[in-house]
Amino acid sequence: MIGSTFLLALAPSGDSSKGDSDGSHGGYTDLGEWVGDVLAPLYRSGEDQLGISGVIVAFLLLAGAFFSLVSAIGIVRMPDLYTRMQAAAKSSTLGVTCLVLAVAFHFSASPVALTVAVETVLILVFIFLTTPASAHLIGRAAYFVDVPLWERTAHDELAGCYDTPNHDISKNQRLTPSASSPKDTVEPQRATG
Amino acid sequence: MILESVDNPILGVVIAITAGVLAVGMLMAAYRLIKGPSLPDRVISLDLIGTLAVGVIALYTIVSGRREMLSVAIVMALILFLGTAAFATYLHRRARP
Repeated sequence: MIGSTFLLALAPSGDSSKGDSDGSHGGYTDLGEWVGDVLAPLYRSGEDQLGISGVIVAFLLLAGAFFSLVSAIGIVRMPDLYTRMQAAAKSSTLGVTCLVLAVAFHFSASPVALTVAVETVLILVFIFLTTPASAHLIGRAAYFVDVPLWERTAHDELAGCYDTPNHDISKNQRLTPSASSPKDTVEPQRATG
Repeated sequence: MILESVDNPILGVVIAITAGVLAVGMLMAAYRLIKGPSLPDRVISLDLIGTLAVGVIALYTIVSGRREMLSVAIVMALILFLGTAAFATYLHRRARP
């Protein structure tokens, strides 16, 4: 999948001599030229020729901006620390992934393409390794210091499993009866639209 | 043509839109950083600001056409995790009596 996309980015897409509009795709030797001619109305407008690599770069930049905006809206609008953390972790990871892949595609025709690709992969590996771990650490610490959940939270599986004097979570059994814990609030009638 | 170093006007417009959206996102994260009710809110908003800064560095790499800033992005992706883990450890230790 990724390899075929790289082939698309590296494929020559300049000439329009191979039958743009007649619909016959018999003369194409590889998939990149065919996709380049299919996507021709996107980028072939006179001298503003973007190329298939440029189209991919522009699409990835817009997708990365969209997902970054989604994560920012989530961190402002979500009602709870834990839901905010979910929005900030997952969506921003996808947005930065799109932006960094845009860098790799933008440098795909330059002499330093391999170095840029290796650095890009390093950035992606570090972000994919560290973002879920940091979200987990912060969520666990926030549960320990009693950051309140949303009042309309349906179910809290850790309620009652938390040993207050030791600040530790027991593994299997509930330490206190769950009915006495104020966090275990299950609302039978939720306002679902 | 908006940007001088990018030789395509469509790509220049796309880069300008992306930069504006990233700036708006960082401002919204800064709003949560200032307003956030608890300390973990501020920590995750700082994490989001740093992650968006990696995206800004990627955008700057496209604009400038030079690849030196990508090393900064690598280091930043690592330092972000260290900062968040340090804050989580601090919260744990503060919670213990």
